[in-house]
Amino acid sequence: MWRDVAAVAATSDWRSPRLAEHATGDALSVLSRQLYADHYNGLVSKGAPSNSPLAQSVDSQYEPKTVVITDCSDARTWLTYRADTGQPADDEPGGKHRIHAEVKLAVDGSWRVTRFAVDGTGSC
Amino acid sequence: MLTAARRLGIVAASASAVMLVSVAPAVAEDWYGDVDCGQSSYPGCELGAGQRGHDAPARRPDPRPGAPELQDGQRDTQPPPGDRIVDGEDTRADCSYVRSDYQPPSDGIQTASHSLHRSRANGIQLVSLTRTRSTVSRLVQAPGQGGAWYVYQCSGPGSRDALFRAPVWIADGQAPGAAPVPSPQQLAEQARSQLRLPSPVIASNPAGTQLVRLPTWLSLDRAMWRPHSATAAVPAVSVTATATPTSVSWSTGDGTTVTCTGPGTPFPAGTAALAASPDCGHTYQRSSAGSPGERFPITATVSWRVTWSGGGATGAFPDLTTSAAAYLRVAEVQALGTG
Repeated sequence: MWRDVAAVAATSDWRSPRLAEHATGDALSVLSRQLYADHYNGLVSKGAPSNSPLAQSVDSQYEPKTVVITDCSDARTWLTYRADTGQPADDEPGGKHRIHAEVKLAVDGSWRVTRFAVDGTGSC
Repeated sequence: MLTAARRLGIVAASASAVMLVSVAPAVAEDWYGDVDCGQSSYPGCELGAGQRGHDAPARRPDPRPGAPELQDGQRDTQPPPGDRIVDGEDTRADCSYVRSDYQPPSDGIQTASHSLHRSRANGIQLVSLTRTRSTVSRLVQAPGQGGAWYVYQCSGPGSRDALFRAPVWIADGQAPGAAPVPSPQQLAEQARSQLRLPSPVIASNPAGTQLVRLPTWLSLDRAMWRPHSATAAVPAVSVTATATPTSVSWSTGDGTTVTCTGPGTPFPAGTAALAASPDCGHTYQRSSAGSPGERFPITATVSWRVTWSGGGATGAFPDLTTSAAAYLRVAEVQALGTG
């Protein structure tokens, strides 16, 4: 999902259908709305985060439909810039973020992120 | 927008940032910054909330309580414990909203859940869809419900967001249970407090020392003599307070007060010394020689009538005044009547 977001955030194309490829529900809503805000503010992002997700819990060993994932995402190479000038959006550094995500089995057999929570810079 | 919370974040990350800076001098906030649950609150932040310390940095202020109704009404009414600070200092933040053309994603996909009917059949059938329309319906406005998506900016004590935040859905007329829309009167108070009235600037007429028994022209810089307005708004209601100058009261320092209904007329160059101002003047009968500093203290106090209108109502506030002070030297004409 974050690879999708990084690709879409390069242009802050908040309408991109790619956002829905691995996200749905609340997760898709947050991504879509934040990318709209980026677009509105004239910001784009360059680069991509690195992720190291680990399954933390699963609702059923036999018929898993919900998996909770924790991740430590390094976003020092995924920063925000002004679209018009290419200058950094601000002087704040990127960093590593603890991410919790809920992934659910979709009716088409795929797995989608339904909710996520990003913690602050330096949280992992 | 550099909040205390973010400062802490920077300190925590400084060790790694130093290395980064040496490689790439340009640093910017990473994309996660605006979806940081320590700074903002959104459906999903409840995940891992228990692992976030109780002394976690204060959240970014939510939009003014009640003003925006987040589309996810269910979670709004039942926030997980500790998920948001309702009465925190940040709720004093003042947010302004701008209607946007945001449209939520039109499709998502239904996911399976053990809480739904469970089929005993096989692994493929384990999804028993009692709701064929997905939870995605929460992402779009309810049919027939008027409203719009608004982006917003907030200012708190000592800071103001430079950037707009992710859009929130606000129903027309607000949702039940939401804080009431401020009344036009309340908005008018806010607008009045935002009025910035200029101080009058006293012009010297004629320039330099005035002479006893010759007309002195009293005037103010005319640029400030115009209505000044300020507006306070929430979505759908906007109230403007307007202050209009009505008169200026001149205390001329010799015990006289002159009230004029306009800023007065500047003394035109080349005017005869005996000519009096057509609209605002004074003639000194004694010199300022006996006064402290051998000059008269003069003050000009402008009265402003303050009215407001908006939200289908109008009203008035008590007058405001602004004033300025100056000194004027008034001399006898020693040459007159001699020799």
